[in-house]
Amino acid sequence: MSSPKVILTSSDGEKFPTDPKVAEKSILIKNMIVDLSPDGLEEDFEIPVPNVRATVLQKVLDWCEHHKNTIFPEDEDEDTKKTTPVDEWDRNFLKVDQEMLYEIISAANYLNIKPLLDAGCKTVAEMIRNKSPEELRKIFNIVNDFTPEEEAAIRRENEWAEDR
Amino acid sequence: MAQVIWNPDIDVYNSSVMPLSVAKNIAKYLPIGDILNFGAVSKNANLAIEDSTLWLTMAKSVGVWSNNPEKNIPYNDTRPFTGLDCMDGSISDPKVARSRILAIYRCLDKYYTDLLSNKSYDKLKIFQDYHTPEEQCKILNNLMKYSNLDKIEESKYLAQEKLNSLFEIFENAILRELEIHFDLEDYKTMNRFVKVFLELNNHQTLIDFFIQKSVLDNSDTMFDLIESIDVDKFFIEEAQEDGNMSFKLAFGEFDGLMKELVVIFEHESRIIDMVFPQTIPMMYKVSEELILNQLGDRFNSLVESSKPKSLYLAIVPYLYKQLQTNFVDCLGTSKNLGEGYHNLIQELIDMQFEQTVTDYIREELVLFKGDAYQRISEWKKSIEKREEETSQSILRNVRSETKNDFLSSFKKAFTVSSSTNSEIREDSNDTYSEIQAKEKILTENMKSINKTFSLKLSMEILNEGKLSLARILHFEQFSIASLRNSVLTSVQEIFISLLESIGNEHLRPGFDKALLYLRTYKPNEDHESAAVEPIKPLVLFSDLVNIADLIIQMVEIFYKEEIINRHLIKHENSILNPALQRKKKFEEMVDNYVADGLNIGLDVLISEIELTYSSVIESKDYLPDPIAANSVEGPTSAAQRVIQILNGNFDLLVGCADKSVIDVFQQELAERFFQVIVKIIKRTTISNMGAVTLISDLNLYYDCIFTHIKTNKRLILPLFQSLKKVGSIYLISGDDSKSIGKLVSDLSKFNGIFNQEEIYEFVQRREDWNTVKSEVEKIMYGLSLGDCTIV
Repeated sequence: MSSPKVILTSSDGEKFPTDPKVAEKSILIKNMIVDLSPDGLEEDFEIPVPNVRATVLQKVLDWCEHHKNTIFPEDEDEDTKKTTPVDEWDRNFLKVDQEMLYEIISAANYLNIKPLLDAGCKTVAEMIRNKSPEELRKIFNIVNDFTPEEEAAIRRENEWAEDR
Repeated sequence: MAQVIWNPDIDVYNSSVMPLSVAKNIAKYLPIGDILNFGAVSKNANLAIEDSTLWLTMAKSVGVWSNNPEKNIPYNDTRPFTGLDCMDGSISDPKVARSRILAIYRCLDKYYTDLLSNKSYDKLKIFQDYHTPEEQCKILNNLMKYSNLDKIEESKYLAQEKLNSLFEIFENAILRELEIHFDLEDYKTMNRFVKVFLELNNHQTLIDFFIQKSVLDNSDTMFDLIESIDVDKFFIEEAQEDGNMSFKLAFGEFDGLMKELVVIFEHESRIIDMVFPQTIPMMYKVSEELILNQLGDRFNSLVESSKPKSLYLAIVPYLYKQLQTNFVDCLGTSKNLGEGYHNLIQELIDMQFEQTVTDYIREELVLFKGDAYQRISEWKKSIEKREEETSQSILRNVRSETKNDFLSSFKKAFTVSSSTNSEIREDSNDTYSEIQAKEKILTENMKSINKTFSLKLSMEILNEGKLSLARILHFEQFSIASLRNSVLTSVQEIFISLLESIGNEHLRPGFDKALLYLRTYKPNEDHESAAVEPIKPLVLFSDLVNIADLIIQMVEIFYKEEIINRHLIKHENSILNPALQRKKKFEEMVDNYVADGLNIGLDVLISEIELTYSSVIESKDYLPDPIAANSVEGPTSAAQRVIQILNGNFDLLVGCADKSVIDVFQQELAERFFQVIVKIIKRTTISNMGAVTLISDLNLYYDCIFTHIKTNKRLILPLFQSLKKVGSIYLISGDDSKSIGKLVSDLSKFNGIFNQEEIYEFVQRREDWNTVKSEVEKIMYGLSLGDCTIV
């Protein structure tokens, strides 16, 4: 008899039976399991992930599978985190289109997978160098939610700082 | 199967909005320019970049953040920052971190970007905008700090590398300026460049530079003196009285050297105070170089070359003292070193001298011991030589034939009656027999009892010790504690070694010899010459005791004045004070020898007294011929001679020994003399007539004892009083035997000194004992033997 699985369901209804050890890379899922079955899983356990598409969820689970034995330093201080370059495997893993990268970051943020979130953000930070706000909105596929007044104030401040 | 039911009503994900946590996470990794664009993307992005922790982290990494608000230069928002002052002052309010970092960004980013371009250094914007070395230094420092904000590893590394090589070029340019202006003696300009240089935080390079320029490169001019110290000039060779050559220190050269040193140090200090701020310990570094490296070698070679000239012990303390009083104390002030200037220079000198002084102290001790040993053995040799010469001159006069010609003296024994009378008489004038010669040598030896050790020699050794201590004490205030301790230890060691030399090597053998002579002394049987004077050996020995006492007193004074009064011993009366322990042992040794000597002396004295009686008292003194009796009056000549002996010896020790020693000696002498008299009386026969003479003698003894005994009168005087009573036993006429019986029956008349048997012995010495015996015994025992009849 195979051991109990965590079954993750994507927003588009696809089911991903996953080894608990792999799924627990997500602190969100790990906490759910601990809350609901403190003594460990005795049977399969279904968790819907309604805001992550199947292709993205598959990617995230690939990452979790790869890193299931990796021990990430816990309370890393800000400075080391900033200077440590992105892991080579992660760098290749994150060589995806901008939309996909942003969706992975969002999923990692929602599922609370800190190392994946950090690696994603670092990669994004490198990608968005020297881009205008308008270009950035396109990359992230988000809308401009400022009022015109707010936008003007921000522009003024930035122009002051960039004054050369 | 367990299942988490998702509540679709909760809008957890709106894909058109960037979650704040994601925005914050991205912002952390962005350079400042991108942060600004990112903040303009959406409300959440803007919230993310307004988070003060983001900016606080940056403020910390460029060093404008301080946790202590009081130390902060208040941040003035209205003041326009420039590339030079944008890093000055720090903030402690997280709320202003953002505007501060933005101000820095605004001032420096253009230069930073410019730096990263491929321009040659001289075309860089910073050098177009900033011209003075002060400004250039500042902008370089600011850019170095700013590079810490660069989130891109490669560009950060590139920028820092370029900055470092710019710093290096800049540093070399300033060093060149410093060098030029040093040579021009333009110290004011040097001071300006030094201030710039200090901004580079590379003090060591500056120190090395200045030492190289002002000390090492300068040796041909100012340090000519040090370089070319001619060691030989510091020693003067001169002829001694005995014709040998010896050396002494050329004091003038030392004075000159010290003066030059003061000039050198004053010169350095003046320049340093003009050129360097107090934050850089330049005067100390230069002094260190001068004293430890430049002068150290010269001092060492001076000290080294003093050794073959027998001036080692002199030069080390002298040179050190000179440096203290004619160099350190003569230095002016140094702003650079401040108030500690003189102490620091002294400490450097002490550091330089530590090994030299350690060696010197050890040597001082060794040489002191050696010197004392040599003095003692030279003295001993001269004494032995003198004794040898005396013995030789005596032996030279020994008749040749008596030496070994047994046959001839054998022959002579047969012919002595006929012809040799005149010969013998002639011989006795200036030649001696072998035995006579030996006796004469013994007498000569005896005469030297008071010369078995020497006050003068002891004083010389004490004086050497005093000089040694004075030299060592130059280092009493040495700034290195371990050495100060070894100074104190060696003071003790010198004192102990001094006691060792005077006590064990000098007094002990001296006393041993004196005691040997005392023991071998035999009273002279020639009663013509004997006992006219006080007994020679005892007088001589008391001389010796007197000398020993003087030596002890001098040692005591030395100990008090040189050691205790100078506070060189921490626990004066402690068992841990070896000097005191050793001094006590020294005194004990002398006391023991004095006691032994006096015992022997007493034996000698008593046997002399006994001899006087045996040779002088012809039993007739107390049993005169009744016919010539009227002419016998007053004390006997024997008694007079004995009194002469006593008078001459009783007070020998007064003034040269402890009162307790004197008391014991006098009491012992009196008691033993009393025993002798008792013995004499028991050996003689005494008539009524002789009793008068005896009593005269006994009175004489009493008076003599009464005069001399001061302390133990109650013990001693009754002995001699009772003797006078004993005299009266013989005075009572034989006709009055009852009175005799009564007298001898009453023991209380004799102060309880004698028991009945002794009194009975005394009374038996009466000339008429046989006649009065039965009557006297009747009184004594109630009946006499003659009265006993067998019933």
